[in-house]
Amino acid sequence: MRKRPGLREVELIGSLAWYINIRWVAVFFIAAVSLISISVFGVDVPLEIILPAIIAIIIYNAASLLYLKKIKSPEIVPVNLPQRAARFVLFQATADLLLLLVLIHYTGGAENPFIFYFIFHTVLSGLMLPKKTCYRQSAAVTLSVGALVLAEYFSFIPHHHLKGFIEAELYENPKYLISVYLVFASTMFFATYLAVTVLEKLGEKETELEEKSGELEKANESLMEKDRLKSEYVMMVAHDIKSPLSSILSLIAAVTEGYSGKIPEKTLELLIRAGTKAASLHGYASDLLNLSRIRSQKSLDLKPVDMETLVEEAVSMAAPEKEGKELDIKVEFERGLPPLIADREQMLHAVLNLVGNAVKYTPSGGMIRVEGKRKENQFLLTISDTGVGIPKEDLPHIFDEFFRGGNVEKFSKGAGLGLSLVKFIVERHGGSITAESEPGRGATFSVRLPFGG
Amino acid sequence: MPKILIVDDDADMVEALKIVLESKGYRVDFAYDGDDGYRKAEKTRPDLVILDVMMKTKDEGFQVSYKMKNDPELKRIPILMLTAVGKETGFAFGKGDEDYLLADEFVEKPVKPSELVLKVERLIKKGAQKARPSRG
Repeated sequence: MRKRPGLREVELIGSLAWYINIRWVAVFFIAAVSLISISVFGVDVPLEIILPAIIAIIIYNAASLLYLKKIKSPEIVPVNLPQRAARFVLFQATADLLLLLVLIHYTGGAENPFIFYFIFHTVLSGLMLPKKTCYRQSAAVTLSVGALVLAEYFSFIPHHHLKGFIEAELYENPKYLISVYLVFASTMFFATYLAVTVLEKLGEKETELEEKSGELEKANESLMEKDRLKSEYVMMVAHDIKSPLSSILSLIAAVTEGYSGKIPEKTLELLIRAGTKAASLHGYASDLLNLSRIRSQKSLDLKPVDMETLVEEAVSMAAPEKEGKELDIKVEFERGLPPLIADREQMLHAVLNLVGNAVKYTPSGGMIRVEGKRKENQFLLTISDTGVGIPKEDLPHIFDEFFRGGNVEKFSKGAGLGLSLVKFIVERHGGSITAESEPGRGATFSVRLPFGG
Repeated sequence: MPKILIVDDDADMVEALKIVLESKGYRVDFAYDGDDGYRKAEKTRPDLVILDVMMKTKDEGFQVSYKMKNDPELKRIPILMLTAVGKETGFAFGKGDEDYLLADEFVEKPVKPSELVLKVERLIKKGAQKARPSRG
């Protein structure tokens, strides 16, 4: 599998594309300046040179675009990419510089103020190539231009005077040539220095950013581990509380159900009340244990899970809790749904909680619907009931830990942890859960989960 | 009357179970740890063993039941496992798990006396039926 490109690589490819786009602009610019110079300023621009040059640049730029597409393709080994890109940039820069040199030669040499445009390449290279290469390139350019000027001055090669622009004699003026050249050379080096330094500073900032981001990740991981350890601790405490409570409840049950002999009416009543409180505490500790046990798990045991089977299992487990109620429970799943990659135990716990709640809060004669379907490439599970519903002011808080709504007191003795755990499990699987309700008409819980886990 | 052996490290739980079972006429003996429980089982050959899953260690109960089921003398004794883990935590010890977990039945803590009595009766009957062929 191809490694994700590093920051530099992505930048390099982006810069290459940008470089090629600039060249289109340059082509347009050369054409425009030439035409304006001829028509507006009456300068005798040698179109017989310019036009072929433009065509050559267009061909060369199109070829560069194709080459860029080729090296961007996934078959290329990413390790080579920086070198190939760098060589490509160097190649382009060299080609550009030679073309510019030729164009300048045919359009007046040192007379042509556009001679300073060599600086563009200096800056571009400075932003894309290593320091030494840039300075070498600038040196090569300065020397080439110097050679061109000298060659034209000493008539080793013909000087093409740009008629209509400047007096021809300017080219025979050594003072002019030397001063222009010195300014040119100094500008070249100074521009190189600036470009290279900017890139260095950028590189430093990038490294700093990467370091900081790495530190942040570590801190985050450490925090998550601390939270997990806290859950482990709570789990142990909850277990240590639950255990003796079980014995207490068993002892009380043995007495209140008459197994230790007859007891006075009042004693029985008091004992039953004590037992109820103990049972409530036991339920609270159970909830806490479940919540912390699941939150302290280091990793999910992910496997393909057939949700329809899981839901039916949950429904049959919740059925005995119906406590004599007549409820119409239907499970409807879309055909051909793929299995969900999930931790089966946790998913079962979550679904059981939702179905159990629906059973708990729906009075006899009511209806519960569990539907599973595919929506927007995700798995959508809806559990709706015709029960007592959730008051509007409670709705935004029902997934909070330890939240118990105003109208639930008479139906259950939980700790208010169930839904917060369901939300935790759903979100841990990369999903989301929402609830809608009309008080008195029922509630609908919608769980969205990615198929792939 | 049938003999029952309770193995659980919680003395109060043992007492609660004992009260219920003795009122139904069963003879009840007990042990507070796995090793002692195994020894008593060997010595007294109870008609049923009630075993707590978690004692000193997380699965001490399973270790004892495993030993008993693999002991030719003791394997016919039915075992009722006491568990604090139930359907709420997702571990539904269903009918299919019995063979794997080597217990004949499970009962959840806290124990409902009526449920306990029912399961005890059932298991003792089952154990008696198993024993008959060897006597005959």
